[in-house]
Amino acid sequence: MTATIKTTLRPLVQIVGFTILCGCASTPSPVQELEAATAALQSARAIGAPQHAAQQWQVAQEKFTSANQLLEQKQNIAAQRALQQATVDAQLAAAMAQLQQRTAEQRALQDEIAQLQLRIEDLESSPGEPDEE
Amino acid sequence: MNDLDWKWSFGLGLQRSDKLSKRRCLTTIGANRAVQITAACLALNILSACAKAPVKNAQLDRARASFESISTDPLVNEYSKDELRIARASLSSAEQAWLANADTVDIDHKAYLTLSNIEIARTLASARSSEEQIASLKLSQRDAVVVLRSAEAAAANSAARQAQNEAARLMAEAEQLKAEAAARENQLQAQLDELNELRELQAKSTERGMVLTLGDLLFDVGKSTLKPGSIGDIDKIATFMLKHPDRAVVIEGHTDDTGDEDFNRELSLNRANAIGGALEARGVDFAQIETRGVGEDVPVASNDTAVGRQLNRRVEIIFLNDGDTVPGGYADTEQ
Repeated sequence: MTATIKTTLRPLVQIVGFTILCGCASTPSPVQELEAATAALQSARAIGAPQHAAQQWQVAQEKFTSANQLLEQKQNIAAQRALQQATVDAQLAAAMAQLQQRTAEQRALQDEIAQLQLRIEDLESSPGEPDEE
Repeated sequence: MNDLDWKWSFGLGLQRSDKLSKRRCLTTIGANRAVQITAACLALNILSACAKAPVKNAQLDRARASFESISTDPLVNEYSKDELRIARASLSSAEQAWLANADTVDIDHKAYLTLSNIEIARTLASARSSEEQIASLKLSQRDAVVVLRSAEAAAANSAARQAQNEAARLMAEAEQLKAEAAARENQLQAQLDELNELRELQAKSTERGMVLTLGDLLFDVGKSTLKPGSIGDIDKIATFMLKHPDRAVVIEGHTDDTGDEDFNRELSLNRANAIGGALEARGVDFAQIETRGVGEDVPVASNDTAVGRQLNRRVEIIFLNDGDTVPGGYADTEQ
C-alpha cells in the first residue's frame, strides 16, 4: 500500500516541485545582472559611446532605465532580462564607438599619406636640377 | 536536441514525448492503475506544454542565420574568438529554451542576446582589424614623411645649387663687364695719352690726322742735312714711335716756289728721307715710315712774301691712325 502510494505520488511531487521552481514570484532580485549592466554602461561611456555611437548608447540607457522601473515593481524576471539586454546593448555601443573611432583614425591616416605622396610626387616630378637641363 | 531531451528526462524524470509516455503508461503498468497514471499524464501534459514540438520563432531564426554567417567570417574568427564563443553560448542557450518550448518572451530575449553578441563580435572584429591597419598605416606614414623630408632636402639642395650657379654666373658676367669696361677705359686712356703725347709734340689735329709741322730751321738753304739744333725734335718723335710701334707716319717734304720745280721736289724728298733716316737711326722700324717729296705743289701760304715762303718750306709728319695706310691725295714721287 505504501509502495503504491509512493509510486502514485512521485510524479505529482515532481510536478509540484517544478511548478514552484518556475514561479516568477520566487525569483530573487537580479543583483548580478544589475552590476554587470552598470559596469557595461560605465565602460561604454568611458570609451566614448555617447559621442561615437549615440543611437546605440541611447538604446542601452533606455533599457537600463526600464529595468530599474521593473525592479521597483518587483518584476524580477522581466527586470533581469532587461538588464541582460542593457548589458549587451552597452557592450555593442562600446564596440561601435571603438569601430567608429578606429575607422576615422584610419581614414585620417590614409588621407594624410595620400597628401604626403602627392607632395613627394610634386617634388620629384619638378626637381629643377640645372645640371640635368 | 537530444542532449536537451535527456537533460529534461534526467532532471525531472519526464518521458521524451507524450506519445511515448502514454504508450508506457498503457503497456508497462498494470491496468488497474491505468486511471491514476492517466490522470498524472494528463496533468503532465497540461503543465509541460514545453514538451510539444517547438513553435517557429522568427527572432531565433534570425539569430541562427546570423550566427551561421558570422561563424565562417574569417575576420571574426581571427579577431573576435572570445566574442564568437560567447555568441555561440548564447545561441545554444536560446536553442535550449526553444526546444524546451519555453515562453516566447524568453526565447525572444535569448535570441536578442544572441543577435547582440553576434553584432558585438562582428563590430569588434572590424575595430581590431582596423587597429592593425592603423598600425601599418602609421609605419607607411612615417616612411612617407622620411621620403618627403629627403625629397624636400634634395629640392632645397638643388635650389641652392641653382642659386649658387646663378650667382656664380652673374658674378662672372659682372667680372667680364668690369674687365670690358676696364679694357675700354684703358683703350680710351691710351688714346688720350697718345693724343696728349702728340699734342706735346705740337702736332695739330687736321683732316688728315695729327700733323706735326717742322719748320725750315732744320736744314740749311738748299741742303738736306739735319742741323744739330733739330736733334731734340727728332728724339721726341722717335720716342713716340718706339712707344707706339703700331703707328705709321708719313713724312712729307715741302718747299716754296723759288727755283727749279724738280729740284725742289728732289730736295723735299731728300729732307723727308733725312728725317726718316734719323728716326731709323734711333731704332724706329722702317715699316712705320713712308717718305714723300711734295716739292712746291702744296703751299700753306702765299709764296709772294718772305713770311709766306718760310711757312711753305717745311716738313710735315702725319701720324696715321691704327691700321690706316697712306692717306693719299698726292702723287707719289720716287723715294
